[in-house]
Amino acid sequence: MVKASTARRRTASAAAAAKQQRAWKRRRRKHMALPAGFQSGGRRYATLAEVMDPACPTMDGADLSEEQLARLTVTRIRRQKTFVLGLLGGGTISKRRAIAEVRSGSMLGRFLIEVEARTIALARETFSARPPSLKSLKATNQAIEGLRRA
Amino acid sequence: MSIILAIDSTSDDTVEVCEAFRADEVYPAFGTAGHEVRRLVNGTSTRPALAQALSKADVDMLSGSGHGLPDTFTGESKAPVLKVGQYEAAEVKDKIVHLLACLAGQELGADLVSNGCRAFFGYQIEFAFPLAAPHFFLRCDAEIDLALAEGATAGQAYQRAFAEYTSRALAVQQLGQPHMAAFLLLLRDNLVAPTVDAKWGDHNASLT
Repeated sequence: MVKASTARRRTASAAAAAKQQRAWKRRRRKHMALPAGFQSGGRRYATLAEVMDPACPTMDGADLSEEQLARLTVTRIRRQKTFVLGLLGGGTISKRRAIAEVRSGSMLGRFLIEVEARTIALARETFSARPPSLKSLKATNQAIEGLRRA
Repeated sequence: MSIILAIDSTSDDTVEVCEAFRADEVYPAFGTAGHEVRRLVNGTSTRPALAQALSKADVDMLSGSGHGLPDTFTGESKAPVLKVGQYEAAEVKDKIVHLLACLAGQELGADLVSNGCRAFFGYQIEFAFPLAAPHFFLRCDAEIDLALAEGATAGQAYQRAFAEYTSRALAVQQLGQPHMAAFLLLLRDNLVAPTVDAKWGDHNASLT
């Protein structure tokens, strides 16, 4: 016989995984609509959905110049609803300061360009797959809980 | 038993979060493992205080957090406490040094090793992270101290930190958070240690 507390824990875990799956789909929609490269002419942005569509001629990743990468980073930062970074010894980095750092080509600006380039690569990988199953999300949640407790 | 000199700056909000995390999660682990922790924090994280504390031959490791530049690690009010060309080799001789700070892996780390430091851990890039979850990032770096406290070699400590960054990045990527994963992987790939190159010391160095 399953104890009441165990049953409650299982129900909560299933509900959390279902919530995570909905959040995953929401994040995919958000990422797919964000600029991730340029249309083949190099002037207009291409969304991640367009970059991932083989029928859509786009430029991304290594095809982009430093100036294009900086423009892309500024636009992606600007489009984020909440953007607050902590920089060790540099305090809180607001959206406005992050954009200024990218435009000035500072070390922090270059770091932010690299973060966005890596994010795009990881987003392609993550969102080209089907949404994770509830079972795998439960396992991930447990792993993250374990990491937080450790 | 080894003696750990811990220096933490609290000159802004971000390093304050970092200092509080290390005070709660890292330094007690050294104590549990039987090591002694001597702390320089707030007004005492200064160049004179550090030079004096490091001049004692019994210190085995320096673990610090604060602002960093390619050739400098700073303390209170962002004043340099370790800067290339402005410290005595005897201060770092035979010690393990771990600096949780921006950029110090670029020049300062190798300079410390060329002056006798046994192993250096630090970052070649800015240590920046989304402020929504600072502990998620700081915990990865803390793995270096926790491993060394347990008697791991510098090589093993690096592998443990690398694995911590990787497993957290994979977990958040699985949840559809590639931005968090990107930060974790960039920090992981820019962590320097003897395993990455011998200019950062001996991967067999340990506290035992």
